[in-house]
Amino acid sequence: MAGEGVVAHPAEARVSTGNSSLDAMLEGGLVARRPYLIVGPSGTGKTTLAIQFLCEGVRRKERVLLVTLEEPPNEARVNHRGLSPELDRVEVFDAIPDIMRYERAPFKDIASVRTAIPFVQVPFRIRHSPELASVEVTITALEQMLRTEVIRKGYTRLVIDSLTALQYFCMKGFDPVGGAQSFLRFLSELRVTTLITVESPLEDVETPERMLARGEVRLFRWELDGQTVRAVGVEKFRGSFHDVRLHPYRIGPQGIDINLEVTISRDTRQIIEPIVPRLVVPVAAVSATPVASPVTPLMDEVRDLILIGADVAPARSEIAAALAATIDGRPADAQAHLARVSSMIIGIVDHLSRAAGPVTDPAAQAALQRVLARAESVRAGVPPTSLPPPSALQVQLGALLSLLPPPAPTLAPAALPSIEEVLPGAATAAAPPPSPFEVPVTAPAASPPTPSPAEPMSGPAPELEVAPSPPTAEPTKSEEPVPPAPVETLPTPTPIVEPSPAPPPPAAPAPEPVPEPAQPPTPAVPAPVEEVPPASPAPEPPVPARVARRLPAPPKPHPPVTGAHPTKPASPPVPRPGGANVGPPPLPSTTVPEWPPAPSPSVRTAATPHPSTRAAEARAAEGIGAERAAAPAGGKKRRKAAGTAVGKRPAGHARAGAREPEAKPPSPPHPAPAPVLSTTLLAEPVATPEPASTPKPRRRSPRKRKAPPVVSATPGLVPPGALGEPMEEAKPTDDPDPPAGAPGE
Amino acid sequence: MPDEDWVDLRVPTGIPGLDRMLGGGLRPGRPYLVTGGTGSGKTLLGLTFLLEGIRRGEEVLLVAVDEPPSEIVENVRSMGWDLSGVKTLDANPGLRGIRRNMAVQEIRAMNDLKAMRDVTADGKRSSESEDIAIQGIQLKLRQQMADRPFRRVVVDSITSIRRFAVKSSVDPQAERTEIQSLLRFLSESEVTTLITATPSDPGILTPEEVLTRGEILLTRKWVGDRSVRQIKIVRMRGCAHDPERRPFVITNQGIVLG
Repeated sequence: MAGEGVVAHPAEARVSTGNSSLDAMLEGGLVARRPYLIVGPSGTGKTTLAIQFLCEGVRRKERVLLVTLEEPPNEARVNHRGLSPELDRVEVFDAIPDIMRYERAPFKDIASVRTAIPFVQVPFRIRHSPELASVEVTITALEQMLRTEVIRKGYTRLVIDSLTALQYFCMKGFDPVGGAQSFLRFLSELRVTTLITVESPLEDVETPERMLARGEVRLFRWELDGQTVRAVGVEKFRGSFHDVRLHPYRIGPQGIDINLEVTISRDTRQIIEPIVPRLVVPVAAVSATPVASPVTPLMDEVRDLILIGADVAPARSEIAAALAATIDGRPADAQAHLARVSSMIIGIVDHLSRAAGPVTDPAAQAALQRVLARAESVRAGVPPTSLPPPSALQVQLGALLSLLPPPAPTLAPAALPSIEEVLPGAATAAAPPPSPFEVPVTAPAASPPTPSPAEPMSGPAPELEVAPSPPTAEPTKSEEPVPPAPVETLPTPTPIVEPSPAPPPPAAPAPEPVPEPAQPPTPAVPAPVEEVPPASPAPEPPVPARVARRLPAPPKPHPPVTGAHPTKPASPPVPRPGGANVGPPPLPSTTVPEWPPAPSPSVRTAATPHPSTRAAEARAAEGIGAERAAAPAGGKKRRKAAGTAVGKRPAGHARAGAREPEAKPPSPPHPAPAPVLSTTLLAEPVATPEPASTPKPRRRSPRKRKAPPVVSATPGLVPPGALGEPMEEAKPTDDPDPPAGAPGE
Repeated sequence: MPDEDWVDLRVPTGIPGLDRMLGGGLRPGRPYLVTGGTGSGKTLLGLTFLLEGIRRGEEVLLVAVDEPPSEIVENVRSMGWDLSGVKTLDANPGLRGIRRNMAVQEIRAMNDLKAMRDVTADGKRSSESEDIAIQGIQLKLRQQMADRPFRRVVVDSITSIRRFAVKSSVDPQAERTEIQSLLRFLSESEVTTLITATPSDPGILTPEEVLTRGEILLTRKWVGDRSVRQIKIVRMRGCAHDPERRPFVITNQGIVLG
């Protein structure tokens, strides 16, 4: 398989499994002379897959042996008739114990009474146990038989079907665990490419055989909404890259028919991506080609992320560091930097996958799909085991760097840095943003909003009701709730108007202020921009209000608008913003982070409008705010939450889900988040921190959702501003919808 | 019957809708599992399967562990079913150990197969306790099989056998081996067997799950005050089958798929 980077042993020949799709998932096939497991519940096709493997051997003029302990040979022959003409020449050894006599009868050793015969000689009717003797199958007898037969007949492919039956019915007097372990050990010493089937009712049970085998192909079967879904995945494959995604398959007349074009989510065991349109992504048949070096996949990934508008600036600096290390002759450092890049990208992708927002640009959309499709493998982290020679690496890294936009100019760059920094700062309260990516720079901006919260309360009160209070906590969560929260936030806040004004003031960061003025609603946007962590640090950090979420996703954006006005934007924002703004170039928001997935909730928000990027930025902003607030909460939680949310969404768009979260909102936290995009800023500028938090209200609480409309401001989201021009707070304009809200105000 | 014919042979279950899902019926000489909670219709499905055999002139046997045969007869009488042609092995454990030293006898020594028509409510004397053992059932069947080759057997239920089989419960390895042997025996006798079971702990793989060639799941849930029953073929070797859940109702005709 691969070229230079090679992890695997190039010298080792690959053995085809007889299933071209599975070979592709294995990056070329199995590494010869090792034992592998096929694990799955009964009836998922383990035996069929194993027989395909043997038939392939026959096709290649090899001698192959099936040791059957579960399915009698006659039934195996009937069941797999038509699978392949080679079946007739597959040799089968019947290792099924005889009927127990329960009376005195001589026991015979299986190796002494049975021999392997080709399938063509297997009668269609079942073998009858001898009347006068009973054959007992023991693991030792089986090992003995295999050893002599392999030497005598030169088998190159072997299937043990199944290890479970061996443990259940042939290990009298043995410890099943120890017995399985020693049997596996025996098989690896046999030096024959072996497939061992294992029945496993549960997906996550670690058994000794799983640890010992060199690879594991897993077959899954779920029932979703009354539909049976089957999926296959390579769970482990020592010494080789492999496709870590799950692909659906059918059992057809030709055996296991894997659809590599579709990927199934592994995150939620029960939920299959297909349910969530987003998740189900056509995958390029990437897997088939070997990975030449760790850098190669990064190139694709980075290219796509740029298309989507994700913030790759932090990754860029790591790549640059890797390049420098390579040039300096410090490969270990280069590798470490690359590893960091991988993990950053994983973070971004995670974020994308749980919050895929509306991406309108076809190229970006295609890129998003590719990224999501690859997500699983990235996560698996196909660990780059080795690096290409320095000279080659330099070239590759250089090419990679050239893809990346220069830091300063683009939003991204700034953003990235800011993000982290921001977070901390912003976070006043908030802990460090769990995942930088998620948080996207924007977040900082959010901070400004904080202040607003307070105000929002006042103004917004009507609609939000709940919203206000929650804010504080919410922020953090924003991510979890994700979509919902954000949306709310903005709106809630009070009247748009305020925001605008406010923003300016605070706005240390020029950008924001501007926007606000432009349109109150906009505020949200600006806020993000502001990002300026500094402000946030201020007391209010919690306020999360910052929120500027532009969730692309939010379908219902408009509604939110209403709420939006709220408020906060007004004065409060300003103050904070200032702080916030300061720091960061607004744009940061660009960062990908939270997609709009949440949108559902967001619905209210108008977010949708913006193209992905902007939205993303916006979200980012929000995210940031949230992070601050929630920082402590930790990304993981959010993720989970997000995951859940996502799951729901898929279905119905999850609004329901979203709401639920919101419901909580009433409690302080949630509120803020809501406003996806635009985030309104809450006025409450300086207000004391806590108050500020309150402000968060902008994130309306669940109710807000209802209210959402109210929040008009939010809607504005201003997606527009979002990415591209951070500052654009002006964008608020976009908010058109929001504006509406404003009007409301 | 020539071997080649055997290959394409299917055993109708007596439920037309289920046969359609199975692509014609079950494959002969193999054991199948029917799982479902109490009241889900497992026993009824088993009885339908046996009556279909009688309709075709086959010898059929019910190994009754859960319920005494007399109760089964009464239960279906209201539906107008006549079980008189069904042979039964009453493996329902007798009253147990009220007195300490009560003689324990294995079922194989005690019970003969009876036709359902001969089953009476007081058929069992409670003065003696019987224990069931898997090997006892195998040996009993073996004696009977010589002159009356059964074509269909229903074991209702394996869960109870496991729970009440005193000897086996001591050693899980022995229990598995005995179940393996019993099912192997039925397969070698070319009996198509349905084994009923209540759903096991999802984390535990029971020997019957490993040994049976297919599994039919019956579920029942309440929607408002209506009970909705569904049937699903969870797995089925060597049969192209319908993998979806299908609703069914229980009528005087037994299980009827929509």
